[in-house]
Amino acid sequence: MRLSHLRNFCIIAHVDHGKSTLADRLLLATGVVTERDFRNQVLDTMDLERERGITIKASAVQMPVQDLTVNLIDTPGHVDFNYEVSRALHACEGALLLVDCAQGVQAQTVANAYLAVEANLEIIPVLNKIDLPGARPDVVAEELAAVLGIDPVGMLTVSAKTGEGVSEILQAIVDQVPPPEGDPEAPVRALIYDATYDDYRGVIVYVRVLDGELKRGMKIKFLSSGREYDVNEVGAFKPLMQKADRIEAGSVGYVVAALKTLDHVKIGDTIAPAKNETVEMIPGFEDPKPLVFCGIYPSSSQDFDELRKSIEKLQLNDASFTFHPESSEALGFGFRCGFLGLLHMEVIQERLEREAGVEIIQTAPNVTYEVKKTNGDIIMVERPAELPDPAHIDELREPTVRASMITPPESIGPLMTLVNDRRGSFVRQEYLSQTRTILVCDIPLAEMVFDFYDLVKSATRGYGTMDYELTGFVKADLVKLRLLVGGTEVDALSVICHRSIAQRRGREIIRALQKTIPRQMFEIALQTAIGGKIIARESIRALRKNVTAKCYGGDVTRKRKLLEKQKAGKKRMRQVGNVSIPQEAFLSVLGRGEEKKKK
Amino acid sequence: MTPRRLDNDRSAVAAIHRQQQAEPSLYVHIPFCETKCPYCDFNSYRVAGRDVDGYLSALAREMDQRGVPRNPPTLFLGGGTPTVVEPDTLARYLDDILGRIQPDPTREFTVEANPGSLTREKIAVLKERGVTRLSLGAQSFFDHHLATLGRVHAARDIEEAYAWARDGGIPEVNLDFIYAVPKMTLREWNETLARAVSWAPDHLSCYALTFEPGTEFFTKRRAGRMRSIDEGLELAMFRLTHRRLDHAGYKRYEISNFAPAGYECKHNLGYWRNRPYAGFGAGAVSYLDGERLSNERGLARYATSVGEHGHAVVEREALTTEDAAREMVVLGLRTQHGVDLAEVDARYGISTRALFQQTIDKLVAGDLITDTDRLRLARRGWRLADGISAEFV
Ligand SMILES: Nc1nc2c(ncn2[C@@H]2O[C@H](COP(=O)(O)OP(=O)(O)O)[C@@H](O)[C@H]2O)c(=O)[nH]1
Ligand SMILES: C[S@@+](CC[C@H](N)C(=O)[O-])C[C@H]1O[C@@H](n2cnc3c(N)ncnc32)[C@H](O)[C@@H]1O
Ligand code: SF4
Ligand SMILES: [Mg+2]
Repeated sequence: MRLSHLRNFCIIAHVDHGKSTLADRLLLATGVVTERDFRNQVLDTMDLERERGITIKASAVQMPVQDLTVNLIDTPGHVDFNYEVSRALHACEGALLLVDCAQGVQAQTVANAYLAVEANLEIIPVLNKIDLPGARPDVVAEELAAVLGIDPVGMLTVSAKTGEGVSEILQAIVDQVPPPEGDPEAPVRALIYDATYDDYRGVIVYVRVLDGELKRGMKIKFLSSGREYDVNEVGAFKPLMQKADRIEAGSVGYVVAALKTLDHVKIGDTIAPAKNETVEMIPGFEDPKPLVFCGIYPSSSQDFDELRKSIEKLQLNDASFTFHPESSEALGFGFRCGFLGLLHMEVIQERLEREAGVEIIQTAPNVTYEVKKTNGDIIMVERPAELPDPAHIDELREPTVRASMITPPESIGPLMTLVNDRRGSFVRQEYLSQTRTILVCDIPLAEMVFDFYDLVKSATRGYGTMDYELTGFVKADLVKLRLLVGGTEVDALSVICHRSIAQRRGREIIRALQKTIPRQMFEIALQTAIGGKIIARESIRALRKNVTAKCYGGDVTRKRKLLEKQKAGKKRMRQVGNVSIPQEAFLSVLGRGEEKKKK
Repeated sequence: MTPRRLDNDRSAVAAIHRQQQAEPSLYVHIPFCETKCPYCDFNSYRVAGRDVDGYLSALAREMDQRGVPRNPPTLFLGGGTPTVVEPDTLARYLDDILGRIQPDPTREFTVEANPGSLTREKIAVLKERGVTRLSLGAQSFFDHHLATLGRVHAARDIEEAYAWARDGGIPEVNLDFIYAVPKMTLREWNETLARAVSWAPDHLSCYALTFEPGTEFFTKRRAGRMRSIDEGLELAMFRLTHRRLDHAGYKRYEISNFAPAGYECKHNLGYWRNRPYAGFGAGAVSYLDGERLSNERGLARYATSVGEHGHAVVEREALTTEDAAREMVVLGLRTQHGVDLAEVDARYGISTRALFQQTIDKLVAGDLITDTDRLRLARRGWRLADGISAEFV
């Protein structure tokens, strides 16, 4: 049954193409917010407030358009959340595909467009920022047409900044986005497409009701786990949270149930009535597995508890981030953390440092490896130390991704050099327009964990963008590169890498350590080895002189304090045999030189 | 004013110190200099415009009120520059101090002096009052280095002052030198040492220039307007000092101090052997009954405090037995004599071996200390003494 008074849509765009600004414009045009709210950037302000724990992220905002109820559904912002994005898209019937027409089609434009196509959405291309002097709506329309296989003529143009073209967009939503389909009389069946944790209200689940309705006081269950809950509250965002009696079939809203942690809320899960056996799971559900791992340790061991609390709290907000305690001889007690991808890892790290207020040490990130043992067992290895004895390894497999890079054609050469350098292989190339080409390559994920984005940026002089998705685990000639400091292996500095680059990587790590480990009373030998074979070695010269010239009666206390400081400084370092390793050393093996900054 | 108590487990240490230790040594601080040297972080002030008399009467009052040790094994008059004042003032306060203790012509009695501040007349005053040791801040024999150091005297003045002291019959004379001064060459330092030795002083102190926080030098270096000399060069100077002086019969008995056997400064040795001392004057520190007491450093506040309370102690630090033991090891390690752990254990009733054995093994294996009858810095250990000591604090 068509629920003709409803429309659900989302806005998809590459970052900075104007999604937030356009959303605010639409809320203003429909009277949901006032001119003053608009000037204050409603959605972004709410984001800020959410960070301070005041209001809750508006994952869907309801607005009246003519005599219809229109829901604008927010999608997560970046590539590592492809799965979450696709679930959010499944809560809609239409998508505004927004492109900055000064910048043109970018990697996430394409990635998001394909996700929307897969979700069977009606796509409405919108060319934004036409007020900019550099706007090239014709060229960008052509690019979009190439991506989507549609007619470039007659695409909507808008300036989210000035408001020009906004009413046409509203009309297009009414006319082109199909009303949802569903059976209001059936037992409730709802898709969980997002969830958040709020300090005051606990877990808030965002749902799209397909059939039936969700009401306060109902008993529901989550189909993936079979767990049952009482619904304490339902409602919608207008744009602030507003309680309601029910969420009707075809519509979206929030549910507060008695859930203490996000652990049991799985994005993509289905909600059904508690006592019901007939409602079927909505297809496409996955339990996303982390692909990138790193160790996170407190800089000083007494901060361990503080760090644990912060990590637990972060996980409340992001169940796709996993962690478990681990210990390292060099770093003491900390956590092994798993992330969906590289950006995800960075986002989490930044939030940890900002919100936890504890200084952390992060070990070199690594990917999950699949190991086929000689006895036929297949195990997943999350860190170098877990790798079985080489004698028991039949096959080592590494995760491989398919990366799509959108770039001006003249940068294809440098990009291919980069891809080859990173053990990647060419898949295909497509022209979008005279100034834009898609280059698709397969690359081992491990080769991307350090600085690949930055290098794509520099190979394309800033014009290139990239998106990727996991394609599977592929057999590779991998080795464990052991790092020895003063003859002792330091597990936190050891890495798994491809044999062909082991030599180079070994030298890089040693060079980084030479720069960060201060000279000490003894000479320090730095070696990298594969198995028992040393492949690179260097040393850090011994300190030459470190002695206070004057020390008399009046100085004793002060000198002792200086010595205590020296000792405390040393204590903050990790002791490996005779050697004190500062935390920067652990960080230095992370980078391949340059500062990391990704977008 | 109630002094701040930093620790309260002091009774044990106090008892130990009372029953095992002799009378404390006596230190008196005269915080005046003709000018303030840009590298110096001693508690000293340019004398011009200061109320010297006021200070000296506060000093007298402090000694009266707190009481000086009646028979200190050594007496040290330091600064600043105790000889910066007029001869009659010098005579007056020397008498003031000496009047409070038992006379003993065998007692080591040291006075520090800046060559620019000395006259034959002042030497005569010192001699008359029984001063046995004069410590002269020579610093360098090169006028350009003296200029860098902002010293008020030239090389020529050192020679003169030294001759006066000798002629005046002061039994022992020490010369202080500073090396590793910016732009100093190894050759220059070698020449300085050769010349110093040729004068046959009784004692030599050779300090590597230290950029002390709060000094003009420190600020300049941080701002990039001054550079310390190359580390390798400094190390070469450090080694050269040892070699040259050892050869000439001046044994290194502490990191920066050299003397023929029997001519060591007993007062300073007392510091390194963790013996008690009573200090009087602005910024002076005492170590009595296992407790360290520090006086107010500012001149006006020192005088006011003494006036009001009869003392100017602003900080008391009572050491625990373990801290005291650690300090004894750290200080002892600065000396050639080293430290006898059994003695430390006996004094403080703890087991230093239990505390330190691992550290000791590691340092012995690294050729940094030796552990025979006593714990001592090994040859290679002298230049790394701070890193080594840090293992024991
Ligand atoms: N000139 C111009 N700037 C715009 C327009 N729409 C958005 N912007 C600006 O583009 C930047 C990114 O916009 P935002 O809405 O945050 O992008 P989002 O990352 O897609 O949410 C902001 O500085 C906006 O002010 C537009 O139509 N014209
Ligand atoms: C109190 S002064 C000696 C007497 C007198 N005030 C003088 O300077 O001639 C003690 C000695 O410490 C040494 N000294 C002071 N500051 C120093 C520094 N920053 N680095 C190295 N030695 C220093 C100098 O050799 C100085 O002679
Ligand atoms: S004369 Fe001595 S105490 Fe006075 S400022 Fe110079 S070095 Fe310091
Ligand atoms: Mg935004």
